[in-house]
Amino acid sequence: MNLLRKANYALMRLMARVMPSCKDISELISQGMDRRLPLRKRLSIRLHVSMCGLCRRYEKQIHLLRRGFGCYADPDKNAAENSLSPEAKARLEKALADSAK
Amino acid sequence: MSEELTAATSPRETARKAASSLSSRLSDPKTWVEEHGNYLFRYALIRVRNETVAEDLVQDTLLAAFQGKERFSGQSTERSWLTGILKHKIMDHFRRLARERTVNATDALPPELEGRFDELGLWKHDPETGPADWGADAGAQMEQKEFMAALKQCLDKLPPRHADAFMLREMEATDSEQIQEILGVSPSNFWVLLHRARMQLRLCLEQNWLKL
Repeated sequence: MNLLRKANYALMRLMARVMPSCKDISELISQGMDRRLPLRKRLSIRLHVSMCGLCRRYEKQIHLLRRGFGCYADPDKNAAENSLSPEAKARLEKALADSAK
Repeated sequence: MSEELTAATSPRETARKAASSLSSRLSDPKTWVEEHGNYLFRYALIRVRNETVAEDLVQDTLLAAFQGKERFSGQSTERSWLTGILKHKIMDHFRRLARERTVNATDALPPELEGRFDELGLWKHDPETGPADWGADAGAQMEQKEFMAALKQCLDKLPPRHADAFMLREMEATDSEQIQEILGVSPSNFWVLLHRARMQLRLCLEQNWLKL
């Protein structure tokens, strides 16, 4: 198992000389989440990820990050942010009432 | 003109219109703060990360909504209409910020990220530096308070431009071209900012949330 991992790493090092590295691929993975990449780039991501466990992990985790931010960004789910204070509420009500005059 | 005529002559259409105007009329603006104030404030605060700014944006939103009451088309609920106005106010806020902020052209990859790759650009083959195993239930834990608190801290630690790019990108209803315009950056700059934000957030969460 360890031997296999070493062989895989040796192969990755060889390929990094002629093909995009983890550093490049991680950037492409990120771009691919927000726009459609050309076929050639998509293929090079898939090929790399099929051989590289760490990039596979990276890809999974930044997708999780997006999902997690989705919860975080929802005012009804985010438990880490403050609510409107009574004073602020009063200020807003006054501003609205003033503008209605 | 012809549309109005058809609408007037078709009973089904008249019924549909009556129903939709019933379900989508605006409530008395006096109730807005009580009904939606907290939601809007939290929505803004999560995105701009400053209570004073968030309150100002909510106030601008409520006043703009009050003045534009007639423009409420009834296609959405009152809350999503108000949230839509707030989104525009938030984007204007980021636009102002970007104009004031001096552009730092040497936004290099921070050393703690650069150090994760070897000279060939491969993740260093060392369990200490590559992305760690987050375990199977990391996704499920993301709805918990600990995750929210950690993500908030991690966003605060990001260089502001990185955080803004990420925030705007993940915020609903903003496409990449629009964000580039708001931040005043080129497309290639934008993709780099976004990539680095994700890299830093991933690493920060690994260390401060999962403590791996």
